[in-house]
Order: sequence, then structure tokens, then C-alpha cells
Amino acid sequence: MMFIRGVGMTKFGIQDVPSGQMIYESALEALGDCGISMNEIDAIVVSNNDIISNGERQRHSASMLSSLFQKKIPIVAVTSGCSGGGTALWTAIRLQKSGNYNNILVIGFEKMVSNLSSKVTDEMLMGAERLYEQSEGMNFPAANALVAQQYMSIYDATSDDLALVAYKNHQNGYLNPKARFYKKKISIDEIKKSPVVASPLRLFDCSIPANGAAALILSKEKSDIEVIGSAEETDYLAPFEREDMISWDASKKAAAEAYKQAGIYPDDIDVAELHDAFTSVELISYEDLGFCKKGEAKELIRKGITNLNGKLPVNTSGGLKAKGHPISATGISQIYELVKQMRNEAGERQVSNIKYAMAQNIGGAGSNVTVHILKKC
Amino acid sequence: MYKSNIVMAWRKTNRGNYIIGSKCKECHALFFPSRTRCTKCESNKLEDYIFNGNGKIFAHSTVFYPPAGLEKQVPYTVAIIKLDEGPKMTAQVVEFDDLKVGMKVQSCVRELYSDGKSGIIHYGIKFRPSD
Repeated sequence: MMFIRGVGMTKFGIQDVPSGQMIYESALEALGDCGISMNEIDAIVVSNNDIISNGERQRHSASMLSSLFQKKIPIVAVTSGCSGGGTALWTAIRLQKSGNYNNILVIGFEKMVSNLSSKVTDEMLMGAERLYEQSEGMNFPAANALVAQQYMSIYDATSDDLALVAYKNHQNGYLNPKARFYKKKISIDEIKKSPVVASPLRLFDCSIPANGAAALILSKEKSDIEVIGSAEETDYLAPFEREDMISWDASKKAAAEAYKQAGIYPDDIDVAELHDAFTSVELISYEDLGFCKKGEAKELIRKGITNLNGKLPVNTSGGLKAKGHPISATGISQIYELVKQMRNEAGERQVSNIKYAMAQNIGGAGSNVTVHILKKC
Repeated sequence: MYKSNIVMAWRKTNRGNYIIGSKCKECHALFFPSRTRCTKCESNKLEDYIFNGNGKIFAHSTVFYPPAGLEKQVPYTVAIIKLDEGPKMTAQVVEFDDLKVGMKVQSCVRELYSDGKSGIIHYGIKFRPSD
């Protein structure tokens, strides 16, 4: 199977530095983490969203990395909206299975917070249905609000349940030096009183954009972290096209496949990084990934089962909510967090006794999902 | 189809029903948006199908922070409508007092947005209560 040898990431925040600098910083940390040099990297998979409003406008991220690292090796770019990082890892794993590469550097990066938020919003909307949804006034919060509205009315989940998800992730992010909300206290009251963006979702139900890069080194060589499950599934772009909006097929299928490869069950997962682009997505994901039955996600959050000291801590990094969501970097940063947790290097937010860890990365409103399962060797 | 030219669709449908999708001539499956190939039976014999414009609210949300271009309409309500014939679509809902899931609605042509004072007015489908 495959092993993760090293991980690295920049702080997710508002630092206004060129993407190249963030890529370099995260890659150097990953190389240093496993004590190898750039010369030992024989392929790179990179993910980025070609954000045109950040002043860089570089569509050829593969060649950009070649210049940056002064490396003439196979470099492949994959773009998949918010699931770009997970999809880059998924792709790298298949590339490695071909047998031609020993160490593959996988990088996700995004520079978002250097422009007007209306422009950033429009950039993000390029990852959703434009012709039949956005012209009607839909944006990402609204698309997820429609899903949340239906979910909450059918399963009696409340705005308070959503607030608990935000509160939990902000408490975790408070402890994570790489999180955008590090050491920033957010009270449950602030969350509940924040303005409505698209009912029933409030500002604090939404994740926050950030600049950042994250990197990992995937290797054939045995390390302490093995990738034992890797799956990717895709669903229709717009929620209205789907039979069932409140259970995401791509998530369910990717999870089922990853569990099958790993030979384990949802109960075996000790810690998870889930794609909380909106607090409602974290709740729905508890169900889609098999952590509870359909409609019971609210019990998990109410009972504190997914809290840092709960039975299944979720988003110990702070998640997209409090760590920040630099689109293509997010999926790799999830792996970064899991590896730190599995190695007992997570500082104040460390959870104990981890054998199996899961990362779920979503693009669009459930349009594209990757699930990876890691095992501590 | 109507998307690219709502005015044409409005004329084509005799100025009444203007949601145009497709119907498979082989298996009679209905589609919105239009398709040129049936994804149920793989037939490529499809024809325009004009939906009657009646449906029910499937899910709804009121938007306070809009995408660019719709700032003046805030707050407005978007919904997923389940058309009586089966397919679903996303559209705004207007002229209602209290919106509920399952409420009956019918389509109407409304301005979506305009390109400034002297620019083009973009029309589209919205829904309003039908009872």
C-alpha cells in the first residue's frame, strides 16, 4: 500500500504573499518532516483553482511548480473545486500504483483573501451550477441552505444544533496555531446572533476563505502512516437534479468504498476531518459516513460525541469553519491534521489512542467527494 | 433553451407556459433542463416538452447576501420547485405571505436583473402561490 512520509502546511490566514512562497513553505516543511531532499521527489500532483482575481492568474500551475522547484519531472495539475486537495491525493495514489514513482509530492494551494469579497464569492461560485441556479439568485450558502432547510424540517434538527457544530470547531481552531481563528474566542452567543446569510444558515454556519498551501509526501517506502482507503465519487452538479438532497450519494459511495478497501467499519474510526463548508454539511456527513443513522446526527453533536474529548473527535483542526478554507489546500490540510494527531504532535488539541483516521473532502454541494482512511503503523 | 432566450420561449409557448424541457419519445421520460439524449433509455429521439408551470415548494431559503448583480433584490427567496410532472428546478418565489414546504405554486415571467439603467433587462422564470 501507500504511506505518507511527511506533511507540511502554511498558516491559513490573510497573509498577502505570492502563492509560490506559500507552496515553497509547505513543501519544505513536508520534506523536512521526513528528512528527504527535493531530489528524491520524482513526481508532483498539484491542485489549484486558477483564481483570476488574485493578481496572479496562472493557469499553468504544473509548470509554475517546475520553475519554483527547478525540477523537470512529471507534474500534473488537478482541479476539482473545494475537493481539489483530496482529488490530488487520490490521483497521486493511482499514479504511485503505476509503480514508476517512489516519492510523490502532493500540494494544494489557494490565494483568496487579497481581493473584494464579492469577487472571491464569484470565483468560488465557479464550482457550482451557473446556468440554472446562479442566474436565479443562488450562491453556495443558498444552495446549502436549501439542503439544510429540508434536512432540519425532516429530522427536527435546529439552528442550535448547527451553532453547536460551529462552536465545537471554533473551540478546536482556537488551539490550532495554523488556523485562521487561532486564539480568537468565539462565543455561542456570537454564533447564534450572527446575521442570516441564507436562511436557515447564519454567518457562523459558513466556513471562511483563507490564503494557504498544504503539502504531503506520498511514498512506497514504509512510514508510520499508511493510506489504507482511498475513494472518489461524483454526483450531479446542482442539488435540484438529485432525487434526495439531504443524503449525499457521492459521500456515501466514497465512504463505502474506502471502508471496503480498509477492511474496517465506521465504528473503528478514531478521529475525522470532515468538510464542514457549512455546519449543516458536517451533520449530514456524520450520517453519510456511517457514524450514526439517518436523522441522528443532532444527537452526536448534542451529546458531545464529536467534541475534542468525545468518542469520535471531528475537525480537531478547527475544520473549514475555524481553520479556514483555502479551496484546493483544504483536502491536504485535513491529512496534515490527521498525521499530526496520529503522531501525537497536535499540541493542545491532541486526542489519544488513534489507530484509524478519516478525511472527507467535498467539492460543490456534495458534487464531488473524496474519502481517505489512514492507519497508524 | 428558454434560458438563452426567455422572450423567444415566451412566444413559442403561446405566452403562457414557458418552462421548456424534453420528453423522450421512446420511454416518455421527462427532463428539465432539456436534453438531446435520454439518460433513462439512451434514446436520442427527444422532443421539446412544455411543463404546465405548476408545482410545489420542495425546499426554500431567503437570501440576504446575494451573488453579484442581485444586490437590489435582497432579501429574496429561492426555492427548489417540484413540478407536477416530476422534474425539479431552482427558481425564486415571489408574491407570498408565508412560505411552506409543499405549498402549491405556479410559474410566471419576471425580471431577474438588468444591466444598469440603459442595459438589457434579463427575464426569467419565478414562481408565485397558486391558491
